[in-house]
Amino acid sequence: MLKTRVMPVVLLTGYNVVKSQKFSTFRTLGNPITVSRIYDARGVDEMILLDIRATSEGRGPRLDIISDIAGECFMPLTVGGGIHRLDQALEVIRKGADKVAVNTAAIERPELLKELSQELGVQAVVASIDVRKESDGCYLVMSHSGKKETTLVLLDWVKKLEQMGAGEILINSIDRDGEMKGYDLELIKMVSEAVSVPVIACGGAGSPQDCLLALQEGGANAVAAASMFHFTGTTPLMVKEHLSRNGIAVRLA
Amino acid sequence: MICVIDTGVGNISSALRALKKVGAEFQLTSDPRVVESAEKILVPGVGAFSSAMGRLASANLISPLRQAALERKVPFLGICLGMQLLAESSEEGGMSEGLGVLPHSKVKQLELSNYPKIPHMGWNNLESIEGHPLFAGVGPGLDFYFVHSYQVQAIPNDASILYCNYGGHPVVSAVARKNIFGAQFHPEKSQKNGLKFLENFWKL
Repeated sequence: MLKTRVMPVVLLTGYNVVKSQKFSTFRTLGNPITVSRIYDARGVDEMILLDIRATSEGRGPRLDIISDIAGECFMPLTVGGGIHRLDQALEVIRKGADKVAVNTAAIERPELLKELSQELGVQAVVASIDVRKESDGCYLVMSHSGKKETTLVLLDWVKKLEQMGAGEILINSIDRDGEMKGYDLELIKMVSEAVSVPVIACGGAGSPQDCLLALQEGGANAVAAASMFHFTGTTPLMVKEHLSRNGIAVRLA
Repeated sequence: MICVIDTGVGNISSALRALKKVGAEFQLTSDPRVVESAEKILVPGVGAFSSAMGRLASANLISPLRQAALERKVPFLGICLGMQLLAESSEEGGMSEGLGVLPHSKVKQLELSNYPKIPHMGWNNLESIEGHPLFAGVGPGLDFYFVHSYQVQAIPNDASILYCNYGGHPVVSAVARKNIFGAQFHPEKSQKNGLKFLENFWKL
């Protein structure tokens, strides 16, 4: 049976691991190699590495860091941040990533997804979406690590991403980011119901129960979290044990 | 020495790092002369079927690979796309011809009518590992990491075929037939179980 994945997210600014709250107020958490080594030793299902400054600083992915990190991982690795062209994606994959994640680049030029999926296969292309909830309850799709508003309509955009070649959707709630008070279940449900590719819920997890809700009520196919793993004693394995007790198939060995 | 075929696309460095981790000697190559005398062959791969076959063809690798598999009968392992390349043909991106070292077999898309979401992505456990020499010592859990949208079908009856269950339907996950081996999952990304699998190939 296919196991539900629990994934740590590691945010990078250059060579530092950081963690944000609502996409700002960053805390520096140290060296990505050490962090990756710990996650690999703990047997996590998959790791998502996002360089959140690359696009804003107008640079490409830092291949040296990706290579160092991939050297510590015998687990699936998704890498995002600063990938705007096919050749950059190919380099990132050559350095040891299994999938590339694109966000702003896809907003600026959706054809990029087609180019990536034709060359790498859809399974290697993750479309990441950062969403901010407005006071009227509407969801705004944001670009440039949550700094710029777009005029995209969320559900249209999600469907377009799938149609252009995204093999997986990483949906991230900016309002919930770093708050550890639970995922935005309404957002996750809307997105999960709109597409037939797997959806990874991100933003807000504070406990194993939050993860269970994202799957049961949100309909996500996988859950991702950063703060919960960085700042609380909760490990990916503890999340999976909780999911398993509630009848969700996970990999415990 | 394992001769790892450089298919030009895909995450080759992960496969190489995993081989290093299990103490295997290997060489990455796209040189037909190296393949002609290879003792053991590994075809890794992420990417699209036809572009990978196109690259093998333009590097003049198809005939030495077929010879190694079928005439010299050296241990020959295909991983993920590499397993699919063992087939006679694939329907991915129109009809393309494969290496054809698993006779009659065809690569077909996973149908959304059978499976919950495509690609089949994540950790799944094999139903059994019987009859496949590369799984010796793997376990107790039989989880491996999968990412794919196609599978090899119509594999000859005399092969040993291993399956996992995805949404109540079987997915072809590994094959062994004489000296030919395939893994639809990624051993190089499957932590302890995957490293054991690769170590077994090295020690074969």
